[in-house]
Order: sequence, then structure tokens, then C-alpha cells
Amino acid sequence: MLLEMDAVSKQFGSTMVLHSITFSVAENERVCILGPSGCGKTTTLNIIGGFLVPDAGTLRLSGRIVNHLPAYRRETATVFQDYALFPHLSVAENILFGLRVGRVPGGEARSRLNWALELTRLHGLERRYPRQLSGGQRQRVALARALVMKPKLLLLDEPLSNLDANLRVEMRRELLRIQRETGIASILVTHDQHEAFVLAEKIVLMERGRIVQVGTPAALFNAPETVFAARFLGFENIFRTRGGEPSSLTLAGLESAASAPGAEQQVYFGVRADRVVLGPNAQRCAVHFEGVVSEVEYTGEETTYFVHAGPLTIVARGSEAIEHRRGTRVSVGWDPAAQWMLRDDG
Amino acid sequence: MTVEAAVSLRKPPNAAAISIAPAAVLVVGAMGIPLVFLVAVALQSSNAGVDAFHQVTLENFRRVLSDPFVWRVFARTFRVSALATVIAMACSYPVAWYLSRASHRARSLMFLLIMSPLLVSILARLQGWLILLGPGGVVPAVLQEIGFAVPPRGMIGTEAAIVVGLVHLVLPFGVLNLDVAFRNIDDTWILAARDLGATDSVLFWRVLFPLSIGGLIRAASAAMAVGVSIFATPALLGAGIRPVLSTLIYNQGLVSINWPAASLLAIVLVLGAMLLILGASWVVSMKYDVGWRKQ
Repeated sequence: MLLEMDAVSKQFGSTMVLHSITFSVAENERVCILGPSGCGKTTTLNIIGGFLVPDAGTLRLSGRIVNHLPAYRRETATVFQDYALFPHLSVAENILFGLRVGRVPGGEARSRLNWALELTRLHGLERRYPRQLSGGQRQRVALARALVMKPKLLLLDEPLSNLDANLRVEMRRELLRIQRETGIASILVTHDQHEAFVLAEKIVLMERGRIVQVGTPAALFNAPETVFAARFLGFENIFRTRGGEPSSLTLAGLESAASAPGAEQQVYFGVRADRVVLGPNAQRCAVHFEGVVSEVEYTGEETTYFVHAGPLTIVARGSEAIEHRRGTRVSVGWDPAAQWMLRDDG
Repeated sequence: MTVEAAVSLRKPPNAAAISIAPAAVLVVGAMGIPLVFLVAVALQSSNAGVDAFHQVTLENFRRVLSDPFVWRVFARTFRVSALATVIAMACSYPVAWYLSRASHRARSLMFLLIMSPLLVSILARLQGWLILLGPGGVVPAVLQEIGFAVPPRGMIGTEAAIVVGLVHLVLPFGVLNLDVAFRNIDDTWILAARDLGATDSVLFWRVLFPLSIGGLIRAASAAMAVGVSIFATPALLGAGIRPVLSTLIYNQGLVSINWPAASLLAIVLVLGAMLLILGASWVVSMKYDVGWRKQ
């Protein structure tokens, strides 16, 4: 294993920000730490990068414990969220900074500079200063500056969050291409599910300083284990039953998972919005209710309905144009096979 | 913004003129008109006053500027204030660095301490230096103890005493100006430099110092302008035997009653200080400031 994080904890003042974080990164593996803001993902990255020292647990890089090793002596290189390009240095000088500090001989430094410029498609911009570059170009310089150090593990802190939507998709592809071409192992921190799914082979989902679930994008998407994971990864219908088996559902026995915790025995489950059936066909489903369409959102590619049924708001999504108007009564239902059981994570 | 919005937001055309009028009257009345008189008087050859505007001559210029004593005074003025500026910058640089990185509470306290000398009358502060540096003062006593020959009047009346007083005077300006510059240096630049292997000295010489040059030039030019202009410090600590430009102007104008000479020297002082400030800010804006703040 290239990186092994074992039961790492971190405290800021009296606040525990990381609770016993354990995960690993293999050689050439692309890992994303995914989670909402404040979940501890950047703190985790800073511990790996050598900018913070863990309070407990061990961090191994290539088998060696590096808890207290300073950043520059680790085989990691960090791409900072706001790029942190040196404003008084040109593109080439920024990229060469680490090589000059490390006294890499001129000839080798030049060839590595050229390699990095080539890889990040920055040729022709060597003499520019950061202020003369676009957001995407700055991102490339930050990448080149990190890659030219030939790290074993590349750390990326929300690398695309400062770019506008179109550029983000473009840079996401670039990032994937560069990672494939170099074969470098990486840890990318993001709160964006799409970014994580596109870029990662393994996702570490975090919430409130804990790891919730680790798995491939498909495993997380298809089989979230907890209510948080399901909600974060796009299960829009999350319900709980009081006691009874969810196979024999009645409206009275269901409530929205968002409402206050009630009875002891709670069973949570989720249903994807695209598995919810609306209209007369719903009555053929094993689970079905009568409801009223409370809101309709049409994006062109798909239509999303919000249906009030008793205490529930059920979200249904389909690719057809609007079929049920706001305020109309409609049957809503799903096949019990579409119900995915979830663990409550408090 | 739509055209309608732009129109409705625009103030009446004379609003700007009205709002700057009081300041303009003050500047023109209290600065501009006296400056015109200063030039007029400098172009006289004797104390003719304002009714002699027509007797324009460069005789006064020739007389004053060919006097080697005047040039020695110019040189001393430059020497003491430049030396004081260099010392003040060196002393305020680390203080400003810690100030810029301090917590909010520590910052407020440090600000109070740094500004506190400015709240005390300059005469009270100079009285302190007269006691410390004067006959029987602590500083001459220590100097004598370690083997220096100290005259009976102590250090008063030496350029060193003037430099000490000027350093004390301009130090807060140095700290405050450098603090502004340092606060524009982002912490992630430091992290990035560390990540790329920078040692303390590399971090300082390759990142922090280059990024602070603009602030350093601004701070130094402000300190220098104060240093060449201030009167009380060189007057008291120079004890009349180390004249600088400001004390010479005072002497020519109010002791020797040579108004043309005093006016000419005053013009030199004003122009010198102005050129210093403008030149420094031009250099900074051309070379050291563009786009340094994070976009």
C-alpha cells in the first residue's frame, strides 16, 4: 500500500474534527474524499500532506510512519484550493520553484519543466505571470508545479471549486487525462458527487469527522449503507417505518426520515426518484398511495414531481414531458424491489 | 446593469464638485496660496515682502545654492534620515510580520503599543531622549564605561542622537505600512513553498521578501519624508550645532530674517519630500504591486 491511514484522530481545541479515520490508497489508485463542508475532508488531506500532525493513530507512506515528517520530506505534493501560485514568479519560475530549492541540476530541471508544460498543455505561457492567466490556466500551473516534483501521491484540495461550471467539466476531463497519463496515485477532496464519481476509482465518504462508507462509485451509488450516504448520493425518497416490515406498508405506518426520532424500532429505506411510478400504473405496484402533485420541475431532459401523500412528500422523476399538472390527484407507488434498506447513523 | 438603472443611479453632475469643494478650498487656501508666495519670495534678492512681486531675480538662488554650507546641510539631512529609515525598517520588519500573523486580540494590543508613542507630545518624547542621551545620561555613561570618549554634553549635538530620535519617530509608520504589505501575503503561499521544500531562508528570500518589497518601499518613503521634514527632533537633539534642512529654514526665516533664502530652502524641502513619495509609489505601482493581491 502506498498510503495507510490507521485510526487517525485530530482535535482542534475541544472539538474532535476527525474520529479514527482508517483507509488506504494503493499505487496508481485514484481516491476521492467526498463529503459536505465541515466533514473533515480537508483536515484529512492536510494531515496526509504534512501540514497538520495527527493527535492519534498512524499514517504510513510506502510503509514508513510519517506522522511527524514535514511536508517537503514526504513523497506527496499538494495542489491547493486557491492554487497558491507565487504572484511574483512567472509560470516557468513557479513550476521550477521546487526543483531549484531541491538543487536539481539545470539540464534535468529544464527537461522536467518541458515535460510538465507538455503534460498540462501550458507551452507558450511560460513567461506569463499568474495574474495574466485564466482560472483554468492557473489550475494547470498548480498541477504542473506539483507534478514536476515527481511525487508518489498527488493531493488535490477542491481543485475545481474555483472554476465556473463549463470550465469545471473541461478541467475535470483534463485532470483525468493527466492522472491517466502519469499513472500517479492521487487523493482528491471534493463536496461534488459528480466530480468524485468521474475522477475516482475509490470513494471515501465522510460526515462529521467520520468515514461513513468506502467503495467504488458504483457501489456507493447503488448500495449506500446509511441514511446520510443515501441522501448525499441522491436518494430523494428516504422514509422510515415504525416497527413493522416495510413490505407491508401503509401510509399511516410511514414517516419522512427528516422528522424527529420517534419509536425505538425504526427501519429506514430509500427509493430512487426514477423508480417511483406515477399515474394509473402505480396502482399495479405492491406499494402505492394516493396523493396530490404539489410541484413540478421541468428541465427539458427530465421532469421531477413532488407528490404529497399523507405525511410524505414523494419525489418522482421521469424523462417524459409534464404529464401531471400541479394540484392534480395522482396515484404514486413503487415495486418493493426498489426499496433499499438503510442503517441509521444518528 | 440596464441603461435605466445606470441613469437613475447617476448623481447630478455637480454633486462631485460640491462634495470636494470644502477640501479643495482648504487645500488651495492653506497650501496653494502660501506656496505661490513662497516661490515669489524665493525670487527676491532681499526681504522685500509681497509688494515686490515684479522684482524677479535668480540672485537668491545663486547665492544660496553656491554656499557649500547649504550643501553640507542637505547632505546631513539626507544622511540622518536615510540612516534612521534603514534602521527603522530593519526594526519594524519582524515586528510587522508578527503583527500581521497575530490573533485578533494580540493584534489589538500590539496596535495600541505601537501607536502609543504617537499619543505622547513629541516634546515629551524628546525630553526623554535628552535625559537618556544628555550629560550624565544612561547612554553616554554606558558608552564611556565600554571605552568610548564621550564629550561633556553627552551625545546631544551629534548626528547619532538625531538618528536615534528619528528612528523613534518613524518606527510606527514603518510597522503600520509593512503590516499592510504582509497581510496581503497569503498563508497558502507559505504552505506551498514549504510543500515544495523551502527551508526558512528560501521561504524568506524567495517568497516573503520579494512579496514585501512594495510595502518596504512605501514604508521607507513615508519614513524618509517624515525624517527630512521634522523640525523638533533635529532641533533639540542636534542642539543647534548639527543643522539639517528644517532647522536651517527656521534659522534663515526667524533668526537671520532672510526670507528669500528660507523660502528657497522650504521649496527644496517640499519638492524633495513630494518627489520621494511620488517616485516611490510610481516604482511600486510599476514593478511591485500589480495584481499581487489574490484575484
